[in-house]
Amino acid sequence: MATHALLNNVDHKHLRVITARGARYGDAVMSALTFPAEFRELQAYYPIVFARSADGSAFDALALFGFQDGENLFLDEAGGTARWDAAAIPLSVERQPFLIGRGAEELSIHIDMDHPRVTAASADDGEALFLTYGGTSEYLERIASVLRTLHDGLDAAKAFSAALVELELLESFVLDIELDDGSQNRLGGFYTIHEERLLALSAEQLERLNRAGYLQAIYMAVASLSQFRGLIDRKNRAHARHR
Amino acid sequence: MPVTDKRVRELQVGGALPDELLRATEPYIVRGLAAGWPLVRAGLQAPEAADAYLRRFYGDATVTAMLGKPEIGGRFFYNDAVDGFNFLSVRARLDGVLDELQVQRGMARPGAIYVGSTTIDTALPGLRAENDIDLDGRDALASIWIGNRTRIPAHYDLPDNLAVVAAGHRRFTLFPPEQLANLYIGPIDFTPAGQAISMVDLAAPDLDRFPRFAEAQRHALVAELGPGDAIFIPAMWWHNVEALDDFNVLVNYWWRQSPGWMDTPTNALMLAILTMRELPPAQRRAWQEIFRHYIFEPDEDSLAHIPANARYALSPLDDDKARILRGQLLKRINR
Repeated sequence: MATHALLNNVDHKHLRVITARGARYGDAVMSALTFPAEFRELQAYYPIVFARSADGSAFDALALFGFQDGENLFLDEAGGTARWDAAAIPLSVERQPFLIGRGAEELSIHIDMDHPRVTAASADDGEALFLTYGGTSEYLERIASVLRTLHDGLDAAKAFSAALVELELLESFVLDIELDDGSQNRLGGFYTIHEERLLALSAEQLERLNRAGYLQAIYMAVASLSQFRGLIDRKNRAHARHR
Repeated sequence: MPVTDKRVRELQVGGALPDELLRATEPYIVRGLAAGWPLVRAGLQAPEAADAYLRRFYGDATVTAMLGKPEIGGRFFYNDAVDGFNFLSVRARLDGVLDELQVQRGMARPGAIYVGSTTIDTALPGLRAENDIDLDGRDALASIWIGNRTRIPAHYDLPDNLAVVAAGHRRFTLFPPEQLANLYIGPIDFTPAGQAISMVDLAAPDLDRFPRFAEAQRHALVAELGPGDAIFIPAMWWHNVEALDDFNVLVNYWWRQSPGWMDTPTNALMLAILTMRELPPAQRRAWQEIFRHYIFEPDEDSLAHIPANARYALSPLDDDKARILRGQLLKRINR
């Protein structure tokens, strides 16, 4: 059970957060939430797909890192030091181990005290959250800005996916993958843009999407599917390494 | 010429400075406090000897050097329009500055060169092993000041200050803190070296422009120091500093009597400008009373009616309470 604490400069004065990448820091995840404003950057590395939200009422946009739970094919753990082999990382990953808390009016920063990135006072690796006398470190300023952008972005994503649903622009898909070793793999349960319906939209519908700033995001999501090729290559290389 | 005949008192101290002298609120001189320093002895031989001694500790640190034309007469100040300065600040290797000081020593009208408040342990590591003052365990910032004939206008510093002439001669002209109004202090947030300075040229005070300076003059104290002599300048005392030889080295120590979490009161002044100065006079007077009550004349009795557990910021601060206050302030002023 995660322990979420409202971040403050007294209880957490000595806390440090490890910013290195690696499975041991919780980076071995198959996908991460994303939002339209970061599609353009992420589509250069990851397939962007949609999935029903946990309560089933809406759709979340996800950047895919692998084909099964716990598989992040962008994590390169070879040679002792792990790295994330892409120049852009979704903000929902970047924000770890912090969370946005909603107070009466203002957003507040919470921290998951049980997260493996959270480390002890004496550690000399990682980033300090607070300055010597309680001021905010540059790292924490950056995190605050990441959380704000993420909060606004995920808010906007709700309206975006609602628009997709309204125009019936999402379709489920199944990806059958045969790896170089002959093994069969199937990726299911995700949705993508229904391109035929997209092409059939009226001028008025397209204009509405464009005015809302959604049209570019839709095409970014379409373009991102070409990253499946790269993801399968990564999977084949990972398999070859493990044989 | 000094602006007064009144001298800073001289104290005889055998050995280390006792604690009460390091907490003094009046200035004093201790002659020969650093007479035993190898740097002082080298400087007594010749500028070249002090220069050579300093270079033994030099690695490759760069320092900030202030460079002025001969016309400024060594007075580092504003330009005529007070929209800039009459000198250039450059980052340079310290050995290069020492070379240039050597060159200027041969000149009839030398340019003014000043390397001010430079951390010794960074620029000249090891120098303090044989050239240091025991400050009764205080964690002081030790700095070195190297230059030729220079004049630094009167200003105050927030920490207490022990300054030791290591080479050359210096004249300090001191004014008590309350002489503020008579010293014609310039801009507080546009300054030549961080601290606001007096616009009065002490070498030729213009009493037509600065008539109240005559009153400041009556409260002035002068200290003329040679190699090995030290002066204690209490925090907040105004001091005008003249270096009198063609090669001068000063070593000084700054320390605070307040805990590390206490910020510079200059922040409070800036915040007060932001929050109070433009208030209607009656409201400003109300705030004056509030500040008198809580800050300037704090009184334990005035808090007796509040249970100790409920005094919060009114109770004595410690580092955690300071963190809470800082966190609140950071949020409040960010708008």
